[in-house]
Amino acid sequence: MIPCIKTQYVLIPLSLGSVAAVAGWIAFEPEFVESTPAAIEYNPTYEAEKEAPSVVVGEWDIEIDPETGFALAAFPPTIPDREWHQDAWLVDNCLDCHETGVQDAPMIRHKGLPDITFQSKCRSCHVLIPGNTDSTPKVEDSEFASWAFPPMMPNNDNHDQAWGKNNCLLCHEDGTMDSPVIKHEGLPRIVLKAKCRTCHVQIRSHMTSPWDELQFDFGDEE
Amino acid sequence: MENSRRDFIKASAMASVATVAVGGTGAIAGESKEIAEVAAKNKVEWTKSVCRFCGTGCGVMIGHKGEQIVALRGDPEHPTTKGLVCAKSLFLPKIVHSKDRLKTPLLRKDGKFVPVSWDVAMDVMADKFAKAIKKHGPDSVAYYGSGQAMTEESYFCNRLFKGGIGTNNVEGNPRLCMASAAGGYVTTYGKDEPMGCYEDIWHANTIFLVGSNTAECHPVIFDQILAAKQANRRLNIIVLDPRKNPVVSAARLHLDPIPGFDLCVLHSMAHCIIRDGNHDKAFIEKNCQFKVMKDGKAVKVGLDGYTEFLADFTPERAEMISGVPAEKIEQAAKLFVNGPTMSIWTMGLNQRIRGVWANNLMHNLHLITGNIGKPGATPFSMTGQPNACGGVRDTGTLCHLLPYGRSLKKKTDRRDMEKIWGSKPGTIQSKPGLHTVEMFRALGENKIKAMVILTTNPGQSMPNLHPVRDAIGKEREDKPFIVCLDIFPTRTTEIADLVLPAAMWSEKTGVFGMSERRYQLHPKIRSAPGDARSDFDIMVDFAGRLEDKGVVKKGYTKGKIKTTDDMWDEIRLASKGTPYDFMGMTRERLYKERGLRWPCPTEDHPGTARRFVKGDDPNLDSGKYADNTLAQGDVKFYAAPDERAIVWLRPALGPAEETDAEYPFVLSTGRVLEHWHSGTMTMKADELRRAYPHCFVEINPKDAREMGVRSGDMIKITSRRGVAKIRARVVDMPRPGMVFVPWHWEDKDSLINFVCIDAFDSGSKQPEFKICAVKLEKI
Repeated sequence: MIPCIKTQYVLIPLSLGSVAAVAGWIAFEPEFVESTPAAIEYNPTYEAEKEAPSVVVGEWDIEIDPETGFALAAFPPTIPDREWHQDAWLVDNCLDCHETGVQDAPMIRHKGLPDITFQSKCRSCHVLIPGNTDSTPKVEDSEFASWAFPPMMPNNDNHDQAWGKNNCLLCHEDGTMDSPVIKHEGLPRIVLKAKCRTCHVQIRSHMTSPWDELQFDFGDEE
Repeated sequence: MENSRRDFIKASAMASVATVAVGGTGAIAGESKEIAEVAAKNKVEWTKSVCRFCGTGCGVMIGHKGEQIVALRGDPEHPTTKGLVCAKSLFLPKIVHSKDRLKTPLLRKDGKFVPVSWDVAMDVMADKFAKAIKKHGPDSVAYYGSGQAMTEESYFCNRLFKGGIGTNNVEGNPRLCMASAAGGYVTTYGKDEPMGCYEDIWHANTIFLVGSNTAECHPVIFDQILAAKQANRRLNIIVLDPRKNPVVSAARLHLDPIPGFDLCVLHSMAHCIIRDGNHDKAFIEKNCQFKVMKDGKAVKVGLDGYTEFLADFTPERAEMISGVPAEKIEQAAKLFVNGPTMSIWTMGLNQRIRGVWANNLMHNLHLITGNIGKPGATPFSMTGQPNACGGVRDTGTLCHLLPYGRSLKKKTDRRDMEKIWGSKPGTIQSKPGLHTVEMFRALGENKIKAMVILTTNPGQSMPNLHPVRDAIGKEREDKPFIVCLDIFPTRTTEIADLVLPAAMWSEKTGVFGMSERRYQLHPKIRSAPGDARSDFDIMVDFAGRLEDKGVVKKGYTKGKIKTTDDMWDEIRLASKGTPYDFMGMTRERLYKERGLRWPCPTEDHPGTARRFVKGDDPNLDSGKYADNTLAQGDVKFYAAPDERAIVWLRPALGPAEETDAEYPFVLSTGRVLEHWHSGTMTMKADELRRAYPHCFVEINPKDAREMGVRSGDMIKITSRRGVAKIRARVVDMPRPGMVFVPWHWEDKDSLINFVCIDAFDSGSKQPEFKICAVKLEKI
């Protein structure tokens, strides 16, 4: 128990400032601190806090690939020919997944590109290549079953009203606004009456997230 | 490139040593110099330029390190394209550095190409031309250029052939893509080129896309339309196109006429607008006149006469002819008057035997509604090449034109140009030369003895290819001598007699003029590979040798014109006092600024966003078109007869070749986003090639079902002219009864232009690539 208390007291001064810190250090014997280094250094790394694996394009400081002589990321990545990309050449919402990492999509940051880029068709710059091309990790490489977890919900401009609502299927049932069509086959009926957030996690976006600024309306949540 | 990394490490190590050393010695100073050299060698520099592909004219930044172009990006400071570029542009670095580039002159000997020195190549070329001119006269030689050559190159070649050799056999591939648009502007407003600009997209409430797959052919413009739509929820997009191409995904209304029968739809929209009283009577009264052709002469009629003419084009009748539901025509007419309205069109209107008329009808809609000369209100034709406007239309590098709106028919214009060029008086002929289709026919008949083909690929891009390829390459007695300047081997170089390796885009300095009259400079960044030289250098060399052989006046170009900078000064002078006037576009300004739109008469003039508008167009402030009675924002079509634009009453006729029992399908050709023209450049980037490794024919599912065809089946497409064998793609994009084939692939089975018709518009001489009758067989 003691280490926990010590941890608590040591952490409080860190967060309240130097006056409280001095008070904290005066109140406790130094040996208590020294005897619990593991607790002080405890620094859990949650998946959400990791530096997101991402590719940054659009920056002007470039590195040249010695093999090719061209700048790394000089050429926009091609779009793999997969079922979930079959309409990719027509849509402009690739970042719904690729900005947020939904369904393990590689995360892309278009840092330094003009704003208008984000209103463009992705295919204007990215080439969809038919046939077998690099794709997301294969199911067998994962320690979890594919689709074991409900898809995450991107938190971007297209989904800023999604929090706490249960009307996602207005778009996702029939593909309105080029949204991926979702079928909840085999699930109990009550699932479709639940708030989507009950199962689906809305995850932080790299760029467009209004996550911290949004005033969520929790009033209608039970 | 491994050396570069070692250089970098070495430079870093030496930099450390230099930092420790204080005071410096001779040795250290020497090493510092080496460090600076290595550092400079490794530094990536970014240089402002312009894209090499379509007529959008995207501003780009080229990242380069020494001779290597390492990256390309959109230029965020570019005023109109705002940093956007498309996939084709992004892969330009790989294309420039392709291993397939032509590097040495090749001369055909005994049926095979052999490498020769430049001196031998140029001597042979000059000799063949000089002999032909001396023996058969100046009209026995011809020039076939391109909307991809630099302005200075096209201008120089026009100058050499018309004012030096004395032939008007001067043509270029813009005849195949924008001649009808130019014809539309000239017949309606008196002068060529759009009056509006890209910025109008952001002010429009309605955008009318006609015969334009903007999403794939001008993707940066379409992306701006999408962004404008997001910013302005009231913006409506109407699409008039027989194919449900990707722009339809953003449209509120899609009108899909039977190919070739859309003129009645445009007339019917005008009918609805006038019937409902939605025309702008005040604008018409002040700025328009109405004309109809009778017995070969233009006869004036009034608004009443026009209204009477339109009485035949009720939406119901238009539906019977075009297949577009009357209700949709009514809706389109209502949306069109919900201005400001911008119309954008490309090859769907231009590549037709009724191309000029179709263009006239687009202008009619804008004129009767006053949707012109205001922000967001303009008719606007897009071009497909980076310099069709600036390089060919404006410089008059076509068989019937002289630079900057001058005409061959006018003696004063001919004398004017002879003076500027320093030609012998009377050198420029008044009779137009052979236009593109006729030029290759004359070549096939050996009437043309020698021809230069520069920066284009007619062996793949001309319609009805069999006779064209025979004309260029078939062995025969007295076969004409064909010289081809290009950067890659093509379907044309393979049948030429002399192939000259040319520098590409960033390997030479020159000016491109794009769709909105903006002239932009692309600077030389690297040397051309091998022995390749710029087309300009090659043609200057050729001109000098023709002087030596006595077929061009001594001193016409030799010693007088050496660089594109020299040429630009003369070009500016040739524009002075014309409606194009860009005396203010100095070389220095073009190096520094993100392009300038003409007119731009003085060095402090910012360029003109909208022509014919008081307060914007400097021609209305000074010079022969000045009018100080106008209020700011007033429109005046000063180049038109009686200073009034002409609303033309044109017959709504159909295509040259209609479908029948034997050939029941309509074939239309076009492009995909990732490839450009005959694919000789874009196919060199592996990623782009893999995106569309093979040609395809789009077939409507209804037709495919009846034929028992599935996607992937091999289809034989046959017309009265030729055959192509292409895999099917069953997709709900072409309307039933129509098939669509893009034309980018070089393999001979896929060359769809063997099938296309070479019937051409009687006014613009532009061939009807978009419509011909074919039959399909599953094989």
